[in-house]
Amino acid sequence: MKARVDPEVCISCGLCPDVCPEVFEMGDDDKARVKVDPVPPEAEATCREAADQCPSTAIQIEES
Amino acid sequence: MNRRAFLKTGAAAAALGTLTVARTAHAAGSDVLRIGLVGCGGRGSGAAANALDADPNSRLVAMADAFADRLQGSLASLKGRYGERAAVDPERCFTGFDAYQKLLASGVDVVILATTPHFRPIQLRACVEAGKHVFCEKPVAVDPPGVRSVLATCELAAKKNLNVVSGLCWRYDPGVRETIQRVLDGAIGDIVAIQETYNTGTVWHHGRKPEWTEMEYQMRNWYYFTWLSGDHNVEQHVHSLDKAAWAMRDEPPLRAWGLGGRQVRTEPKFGDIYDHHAVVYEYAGGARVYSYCRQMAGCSSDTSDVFLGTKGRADILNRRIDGPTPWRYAGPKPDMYHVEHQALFAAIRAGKAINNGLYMARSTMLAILGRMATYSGQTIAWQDALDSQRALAPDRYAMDGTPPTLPDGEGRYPVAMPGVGKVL
Repeated sequence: MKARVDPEVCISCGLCPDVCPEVFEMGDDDKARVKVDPVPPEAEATCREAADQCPSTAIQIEES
Repeated sequence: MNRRAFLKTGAAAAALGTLTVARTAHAAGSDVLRIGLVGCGGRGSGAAANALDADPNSRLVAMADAFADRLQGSLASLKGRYGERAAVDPERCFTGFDAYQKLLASGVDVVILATTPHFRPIQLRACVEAGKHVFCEKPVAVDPPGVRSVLATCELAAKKNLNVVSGLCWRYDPGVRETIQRVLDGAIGDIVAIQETYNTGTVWHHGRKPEWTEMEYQMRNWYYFTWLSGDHNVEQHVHSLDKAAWAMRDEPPLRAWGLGGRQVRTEPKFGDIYDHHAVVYEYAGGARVYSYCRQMAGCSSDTSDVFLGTKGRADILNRRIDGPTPWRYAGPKPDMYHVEHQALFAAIRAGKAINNGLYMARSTMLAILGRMATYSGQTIAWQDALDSQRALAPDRYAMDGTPPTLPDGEGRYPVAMPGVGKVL
C-alpha cells in the first residue's frame, strides 16, 4: 500500500499524524507528508483510517 | 425504545452515575481521571488518544459503541499505543444503542462523545445529568429540536460547573485564534462578506451485508443519511461555518437561502444527502456569508475561509491579514486536537469549567439552517428554523427499528426536492 498527501489540498490540521503517526508527519511547510513508503503492513489499517478521516480528503491510498 | 424513552432511561442511568462522582477531588492533579469513550470510530479513537496524551494521569476505562466490531478494533488500536492506560476491562465495553447509559454508570469522570451526530443531544444531556465532564464532537445535532436540547443542556452544565469542550477544533488553534481575534479587533475594518468553502473529494462507504437490517445498514453508513449525519454541509462544513460565526461574534444571521442537490453522487447507496450546497446567510447590518461545500471526485478542492472587510482581507487557514497593516502569524503551531483536550483536562484539574455550548449549538444550527434552505428552496429565517419542531428520528432505537427514511423497490431513498418538500 502507498499513501500520498496532496499538499495543495491539505489544510494542515494535523489529524493524520494523530491517527497514524507511523505513516504521516507534519513537514516544515506545515503540510502533512508521508514519511514511509510503502506503508508498513501493520500500519495499513490506521493509514486507511487517516485517509477516511482527513477533513479535506487530501490523502490518497493506492492499494498494492 | 423511542426517542423520548431513550432520553428518559438515559436520564435514569445518569442519575445513578452522579453518586459516583466527586469532581472537586481532581483539582489536586494527583488522582486518575477516568475517561469513557462513546463512539469508537476513527474520530472517537483519535479523540481518546488526544485525551490520553493531554493528561498523563488519565486512563481510558470504558468504551461504548453501537457495534462490537468497531469497539474492539478501536480498543486493540488504543491498547497497542497506550498499553495499560487503555486496557479497558471487558465488563466495561458496552455495545448497542443503550451502551452510553451503561458507560455513564460505570464510574467514568470524563466522557468523549463521538458517535454519529444524531445521538449527540441525547447523550450530552445524559452526561451532564450524570455530572460528567464532556468532550463533545461536532456537529452537536442534526435538527432544531436537537440544537435546543443542547442549548438547554449546556445551561445545566454551567450551573453544575461541568466542562463541555467542543470538537470545533479551530477555536483551539493558536494561529487561527489570533487571526480571528485581530479581525474582531478591527484589522480588516468592518466585515462586509465572508466566503466559506469546503470543496473536497468523496468519503468512505462501508457497503451492505445481507445479514444487516436496514437500521444497521444506515447506522454503518451514517454519513449518507440526513437523520444521522445532518448531511455533509452539517457534518463537515460546520467547521467552516463556525469560523464565520466566530467572526460574526456568534450572532446568528437573519435568514438564509441557497441552492443544492445531488448531481454526481446519485446511486442509491448514497442515501438521501446532497453532494453540493451553496448558501447565502444574510446578517443584520448587511454583511453576508457565502458558503459553499461540495463532495465530488475529480473536481478542484478548496477548504478556505476568506473574510472581506472595509479595510482589508483575512485568510484564516493561512493565518494572514492583508490590507493597510499586513500581518502573518509567526507563533507556535501546536496540534489543535491536542490543545482542545489539554484545555479540557487542565480545567478539570483546576476545578474550572469551560463551556463551549453556545457557539457549538449556534454553529450547528447555522449549518442546519443552510440545509433547510437548500432542501426547501425557500428563504428561511433563523428564528423560524430554530423554533422548528421537525425532528429527524426513527420510531425506536433498535437494530430492527424503522429508520425515518426507507428505500423504495429499487433501493432509492427519497431525496429532498427544492420547491416541493417542507422543512419547517
